[in-house]
Amino acid sequence: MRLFYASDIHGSDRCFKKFLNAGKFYSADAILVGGDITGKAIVPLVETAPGEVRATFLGSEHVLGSAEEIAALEQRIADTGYYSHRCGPDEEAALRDDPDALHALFVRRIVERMERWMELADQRLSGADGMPCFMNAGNDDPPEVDAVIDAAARVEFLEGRVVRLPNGIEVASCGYANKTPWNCPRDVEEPELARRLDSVAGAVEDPSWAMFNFHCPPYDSQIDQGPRLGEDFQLRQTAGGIEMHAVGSTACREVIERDQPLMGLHGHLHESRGTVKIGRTVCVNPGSEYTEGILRGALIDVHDRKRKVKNCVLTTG
Amino acid sequence: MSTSESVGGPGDAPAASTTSGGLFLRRSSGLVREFGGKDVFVFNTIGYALGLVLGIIPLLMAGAVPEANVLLTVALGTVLTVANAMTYAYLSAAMPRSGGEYVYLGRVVHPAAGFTANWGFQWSQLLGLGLYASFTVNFGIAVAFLTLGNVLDSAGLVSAGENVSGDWWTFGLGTAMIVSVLVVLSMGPRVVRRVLNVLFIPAIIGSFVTLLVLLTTTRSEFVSRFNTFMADRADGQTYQSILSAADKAGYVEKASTVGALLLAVPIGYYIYIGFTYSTYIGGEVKEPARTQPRMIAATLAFAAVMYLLCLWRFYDIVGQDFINSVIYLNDNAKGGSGLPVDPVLNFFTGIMTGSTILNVLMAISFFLWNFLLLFVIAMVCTRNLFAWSVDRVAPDALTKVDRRFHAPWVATLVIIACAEILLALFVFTTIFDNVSNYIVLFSIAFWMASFAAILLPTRRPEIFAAAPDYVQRRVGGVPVITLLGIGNLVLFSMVLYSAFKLPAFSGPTGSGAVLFVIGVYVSGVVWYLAAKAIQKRRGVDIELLYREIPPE
Repeated sequence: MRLFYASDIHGSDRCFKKFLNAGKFYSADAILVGGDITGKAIVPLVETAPGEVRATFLGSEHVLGSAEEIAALEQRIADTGYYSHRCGPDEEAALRDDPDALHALFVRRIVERMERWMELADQRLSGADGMPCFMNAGNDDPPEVDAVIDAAARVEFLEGRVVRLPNGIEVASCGYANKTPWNCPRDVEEPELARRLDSVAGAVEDPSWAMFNFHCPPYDSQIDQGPRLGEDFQLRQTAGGIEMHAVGSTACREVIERDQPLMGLHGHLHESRGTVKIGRTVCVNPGSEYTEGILRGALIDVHDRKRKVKNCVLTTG
Repeated sequence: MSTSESVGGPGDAPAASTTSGGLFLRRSSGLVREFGGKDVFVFNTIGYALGLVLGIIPLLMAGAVPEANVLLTVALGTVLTVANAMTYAYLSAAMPRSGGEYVYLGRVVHPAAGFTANWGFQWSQLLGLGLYASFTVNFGIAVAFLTLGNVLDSAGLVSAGENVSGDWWTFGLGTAMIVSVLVVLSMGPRVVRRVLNVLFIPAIIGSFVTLLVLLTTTRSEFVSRFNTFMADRADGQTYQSILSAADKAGYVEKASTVGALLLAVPIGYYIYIGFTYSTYIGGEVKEPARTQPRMIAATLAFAAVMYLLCLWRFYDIVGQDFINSVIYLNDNAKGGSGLPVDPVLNFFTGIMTGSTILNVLMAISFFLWNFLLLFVIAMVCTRNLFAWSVDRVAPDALTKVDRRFHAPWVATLVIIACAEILLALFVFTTIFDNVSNYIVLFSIAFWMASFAAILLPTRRPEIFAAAPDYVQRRVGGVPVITLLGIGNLVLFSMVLYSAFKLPAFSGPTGSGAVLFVIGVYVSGVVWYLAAKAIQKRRGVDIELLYREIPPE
């Protein structure tokens, strides 16, 4: 059985489209995206004059005069994982001063894109040979996306559940993470995370024939390296580069060390791409390059008869 | 959670907040300030090893093209280097990930091209570890002992300086350098960064002291001090007697020609190698589209100013004909020039001042520029081995990391073992005198990278279309990045031509050297094909791992 696994696509239209095609491309039997599927930013497209729109995107000022130009920029913004919002200067200023209105706008844009993605998944994955597709949320994703994914016909939502892959392997999922400095929608304290992980892991019938799809990687596992932050969220920089340290979850590590599943599927730390073994468990973090529209992933071959991981290779699609 | 996002607010901020960058940002992880412009500048300055290069320029120029005007060579080399700077800056802006040409060629041309270029670069760096370890002894420690012995009036130190360049001392101290790098690297990234952080400060201070000494010394002062030094502790030669001896031995001062200048221009580039190393950490740079080109340009500008100021004063004080005479005598006269060490810039600046403090600062600085470079090279080599292992073209075992110290101990041991073997071969045998052309070895990798820039718009139009607007600009319908790639190709074609014409610049140039370089790069192709075959037997197509998934 071959599984294609990706994570942290953060709203990138291009990455999601690639994800839907990854099954056929890599001859996989199933595809799974781990979490952090929603975008982080909205680019205001401000109508400064009749027929003229201005925007700042990736450090460049854009002045657009035609519908084609505006549509092209909107698609670039979507491919990068951001959302766009056409508005006048007054509305832009008002949004800057009104966090609640801005939050409502974010939720609207996130849900709209997720609904569009689910429609696309239903189209592309339909038919008798439709690829089994699994999706979970991560700590960055607002709760409003859960219902949208749950309602999709061809995509199975994973949060807090145990499902089976085509060869019978159980997948237990949790998108929550230990506290980050940003206090994200699904950040929880370690004891609460331990409770959630224990709950879903406890529902697994045979841990030795299971994958734990926990968005946050195990603590001090080398695939959980994040930047050490100083005051005002400034990276701690030295002459040798950014200072990194382990930011994974101790609860996650304890569950994996205790239950020793076949695999740990993780994400969360984009620059901490790699595979590592904890006991018999192969843990993987495929990393993320969503802003460039590149789909980082992992191709996992499981030897069904020997009940072990045959290959776990990282991909750059 | 990423290190490459933009700026955000604290954790207890409202559910959504705004920034001044024109974006609305919501509460989500990874919104931090990243590797900024100042950090890129420092990283690249360590990369080209300002103090080390400054020291050896007189040696390189006098040995390779003595008649070329040094300041014009550096100035013209700087102008041409702009093409190289902008090529890497544009590629880094289009593909802001860590890895340099390994990533650029792998994505634009073919994974095998990316690997082969990186393989050749890796071997040049391993060779560089051995080479620069010996430089640290011969040009760093030996010169420091001599110049300090001079100002402290210590015959013991001068004698140590004269003796330390021997084979066994070079091997022993070179090994100590390599092992100390191993020890620090094995203590984990935090210790490595602290060590580099601390050592960078005296290194750069010493370079400014060197400039200060050069700005405040006259030729007559230097000649007087040089003659005193030689009379007391060397073979009694004077400034004038060395010029006369060279004249008698057949040295003829030639007028600078355009041909000599063009032949020497690649040296004007060589002195900057390393100033684009921030492209190897591209994934960690804040707003790479703006930061990379600006800071790569700033690094180049700073280096050019330091080189031109120091060299202008150096040649004004010491005299190009004098340096050329020393090298000529060393190469052609039986007793050589009588100088106890090679005529590196720091040897002369050490003589120029009678201040112990300034001498100590300059000596420590020159030693540290060499020593820091060993760390940078070892770290680049480790990063390459990791990348190969992750991409399944090298064994998994290379990525083993010590859990306590977070140190990549297997990769580090492999690198140190290779460097130690190469150091021994370099010191005790003549193998590398005949076969190892260091400049050619890494220049081929940079030459190959040109094709990533030239072909980006046609082979990876989606990456080109997603790049910042300035990367997509065209001149006469031709993408600017393509033109820059062509400029880079021309520059490195010149470097390669000079490297084969000037053994004193690059190393041996005979058939053995050609076969060695071909062997290194062909073995890279063979290694890649073997890895591909092995992975295929395991059911993995490694080329598929790099290929872009069609989105539509």
